Amino acid sequence: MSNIPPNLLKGWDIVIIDDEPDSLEVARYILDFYGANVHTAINGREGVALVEKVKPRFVISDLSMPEMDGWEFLSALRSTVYVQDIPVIALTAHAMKGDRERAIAAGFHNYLTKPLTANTFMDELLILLLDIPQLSEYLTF
Amino acid sequence: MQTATTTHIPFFSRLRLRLTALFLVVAIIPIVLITTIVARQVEAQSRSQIFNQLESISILKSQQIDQWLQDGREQLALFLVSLQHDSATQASLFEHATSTVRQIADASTSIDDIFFYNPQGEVIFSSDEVLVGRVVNRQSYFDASLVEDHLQAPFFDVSSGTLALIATSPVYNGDELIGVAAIRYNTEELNRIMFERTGLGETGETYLVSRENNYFLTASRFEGYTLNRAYTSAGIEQALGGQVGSGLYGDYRSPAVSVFGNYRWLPELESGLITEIDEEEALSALNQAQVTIVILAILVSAIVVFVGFIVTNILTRPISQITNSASAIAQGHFDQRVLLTRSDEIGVLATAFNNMAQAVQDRTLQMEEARDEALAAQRIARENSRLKSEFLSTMSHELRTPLNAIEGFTSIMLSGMGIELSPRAEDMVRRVSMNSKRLLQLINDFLDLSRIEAGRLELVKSPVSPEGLAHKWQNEVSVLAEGKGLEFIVNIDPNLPPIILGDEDALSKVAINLLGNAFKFTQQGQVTLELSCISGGWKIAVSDTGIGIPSHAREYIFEEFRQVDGSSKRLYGGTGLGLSLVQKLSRAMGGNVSLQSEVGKGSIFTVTLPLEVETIAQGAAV
Amino acid sequence: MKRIVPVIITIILISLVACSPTQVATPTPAPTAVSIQLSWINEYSSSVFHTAVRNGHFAEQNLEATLIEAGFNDAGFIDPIQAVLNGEAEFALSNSASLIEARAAGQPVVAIASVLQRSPLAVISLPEAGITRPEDLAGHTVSVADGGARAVYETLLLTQNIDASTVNTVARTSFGIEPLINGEVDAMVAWIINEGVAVEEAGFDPQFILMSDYGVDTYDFVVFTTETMIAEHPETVRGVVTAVREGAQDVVDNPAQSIENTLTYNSELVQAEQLRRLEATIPLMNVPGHQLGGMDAEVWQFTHDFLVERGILTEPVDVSEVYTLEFLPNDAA
Repeated sequence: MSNIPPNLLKGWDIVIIDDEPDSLEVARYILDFYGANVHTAINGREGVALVEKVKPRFVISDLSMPEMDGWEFLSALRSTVYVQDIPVIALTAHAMKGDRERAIAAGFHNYLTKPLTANTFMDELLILLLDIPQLSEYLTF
Repeated sequence: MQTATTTHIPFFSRLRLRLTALFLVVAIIPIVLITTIVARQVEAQSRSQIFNQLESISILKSQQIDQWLQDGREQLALFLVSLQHDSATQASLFEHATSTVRQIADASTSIDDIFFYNPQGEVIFSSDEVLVGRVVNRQSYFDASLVEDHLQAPFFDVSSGTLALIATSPVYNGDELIGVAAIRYNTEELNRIMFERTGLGETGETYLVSRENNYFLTASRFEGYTLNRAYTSAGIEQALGGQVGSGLYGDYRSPAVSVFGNYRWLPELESGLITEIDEEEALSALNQAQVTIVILAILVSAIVVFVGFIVTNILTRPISQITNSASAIAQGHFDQRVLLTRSDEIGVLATAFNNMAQAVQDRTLQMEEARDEALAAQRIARENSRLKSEFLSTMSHELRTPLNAIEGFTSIMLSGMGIELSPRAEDMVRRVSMNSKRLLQLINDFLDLSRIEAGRLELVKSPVSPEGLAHKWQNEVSVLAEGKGLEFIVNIDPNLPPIILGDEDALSKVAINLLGNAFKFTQQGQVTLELSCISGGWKIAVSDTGIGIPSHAREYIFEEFRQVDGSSKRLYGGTGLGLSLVQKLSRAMGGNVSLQSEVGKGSIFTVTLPLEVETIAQGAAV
Repeated sequence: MKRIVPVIITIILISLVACSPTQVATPTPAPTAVSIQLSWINEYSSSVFHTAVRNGHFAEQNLEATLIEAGFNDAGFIDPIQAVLNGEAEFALSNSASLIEARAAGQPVVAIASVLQRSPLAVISLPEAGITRPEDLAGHTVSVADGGARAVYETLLLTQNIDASTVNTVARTSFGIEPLINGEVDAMVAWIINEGVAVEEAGFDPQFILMSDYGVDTYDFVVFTTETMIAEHPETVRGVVTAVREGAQDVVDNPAQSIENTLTYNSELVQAEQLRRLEATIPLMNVPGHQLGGMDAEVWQFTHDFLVERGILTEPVDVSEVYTLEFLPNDAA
């Protein structure tokens, strides 16, 4: 656990989409600990509605989900005007060669690999957030 | 194996043509030889025959002329005898003589007239009344006639307009020359002799040529060649030169015609007797024969060719049939058979061919069945493999998901993120976390091994930096080193290329496993990671100053779940799959892993791998 | 480049040959011009001369011969002897009788060659007259031209012991054969080689009594010149005789070609008729045992003798002076 201030994400609305409730819970707990308002959805369709309602600062989305997977969710988002600029970070259990490139090519801003653990999740997420200009300005230390 | 369509045989290689040509040659050569030899002989014989014929005609004519001359002489002698018979007085002698000569002349065909003239040349009596009173002292024979028996060469008698041949004999009464008895030959008879042309065909002729001016004494057979004209030819010149002989030469006509000629000098007539026949006519029979031979030869050739074609058909047709069937079979029509009912070698060939075709058909059927089975089996196998892969993937995902959740929650609990745990609880949670980590590792290793076993491990060859790898690995295991207070040394051979080709994940799994083991089994001292060049490749060597591995253990240490003491107990943690994975991955990458160890001193695990570099310019792997 | 050299050499050689004048032998003198006065018009009878000229025999003797046609001119009958004596020609043709007469008259003419060896004179009759022998003439009408022919004819009667009064001899005035053909006369004395052929051409089968068959022979076609010519230009005379003999040989060898030559002198002639006459002439020209152009002393003598007997010659002359054999190849007859 690094020296990340616990209220780093205070006031941030974040949407997490994952069909695994445990995985969802872990992520939610950690982000909540750092002050974020975490909204969850269990598939892409719900996720779209949620994003439209909440208009979060960013979205973390699992890739493989039933009904509408992460790719479809992303394209649905990007085709909806007032939510299309919201950055989406992919979440995947497998990290294989080319996945990163593929994800970025599709429009994800990056991806995180499961398992999400208390030690690594935030560090990695922070690095990614710092890389997204429209979000990094919100990060205050 | 090429499946040929019916090959096109070059025309001149065709069996039919060759055999027919052979027949032709074998038949024709003897024919040509024989006919040439025979023709030559026939020609030579023809020629000599022609010359012989001409000669015999010439001799015959000459004999006839001699006979004619002789006959005249006899008449003259007869006349002379009759004169001497009664020589009472000259007057009565002459009276008596007139009737005598008339009788003689009338009786003989050789002579026209007999006449008698006095030494002054006055004709006293004659068988022809007209001659009486004539004076012959200017005639060419006159001077010679007074002296001796004389035969005057034929000359043209102006008043009669004909050829005249005079023979004379002086008549004495004792020593006194009272006159000359003369006969005039019937030159018509000479003409008749010359114009008799049996054996001389259409163009053959005999004629007499006088030495006097090369005049013809008897007429030419051909239009436009008159008597009062000088003619010459090789034959005429030879004859007038006193020669006797034969030859092939151009005759007196213009243009000269090539003739077979016999020439003969007749001294009594001071003329040449020429017997000629046109070469063309003489050889016409021969030419005809030659033409006939040629026609026959052509006919025979045609027959031979025809027969040859038919005969060779006996051979080539069945061959073609078999060839066509063979081609059809090659193209896949296995039911093709050759329909031949013959009892000779061709028939046997056809039967054998059919048997072979049947065997091919059966074998093919068998093979097709076998192939279908094999394909089915392959399809099943592939399906199984695919299912296995899917299973593995699904298993992998399914196994990892709950473990991830365990890991997630335990990490939160252990992080102190708003959750307070009693030390005992914290300890237990920690153990849960450790076990779950171990389970995860086990699952990963197991899945890797499974994939390798199934042959579904796909190694990539992408550019990796040995130095980068080393640093990554260093970072990953450095925690283990600090925890135990061990020294961790990293050596990278500068001779190693900065970029090599390899599978980063596989290399990392191997290195991390070895390093993990090294740290695990070393209590004090150091662990060294060395990347260096070797001949033919490079190596990753992990050495430690740990407890070492006894020699008996080296056999099975790379087996799954085996530990040094042969047991499966995990005193030192670990999955038990690590070394097996290292070995299998090393081998999968084209290399191997070897072990050097001494109990109590330490161990060196060396992974040797082939070295491949980016082949931009060189093209071949080093 | 290499090709040019032989080409140049060839051109040079050719031009040398071409440009060089034909001065191989010693320069030949210009041909001598001679004139020969024929005794009749240009026809078969003078074919020997036509041929001698056309076939280049005169040229070979370096002579340029001009043949002068005879026959009639404005002045009348052309007399060859007169022509020679007048100097109009160096050579001419005549007969033995005329030449002897001239000689007797003191004219210095000399015969050098005789074209005909036997006289062509004959008594020509048609078969129905039945005149086969001289004695058959009795009781028939015979036409004969005045002059030499008449003299010969009378000689025949004489030597054959025929009473001239038994024969109705008339003068022959026309040259043609009509009187014989249409029966005006039973016989005519003419040339066997001319009128004789004409009668055959008219479709008849004539009977001939050839004078020479009965020992009456004259030279009727003789080449003569002057004593002066012989004395001063013997080579020219020899050349003429040689050319004439060679012309005669050509006629003997190829009468058809000789007639062609004659036609070049007189294109109005009928070739077939001329050829027949020439062919009939050849046996009289080319007699076995005699050379072409030759002359017998007996004939000259006989001619002389019967001229004397006929009273034409008043005084005998030395016949041997009338002719000379010196220009003939052998002095034989």
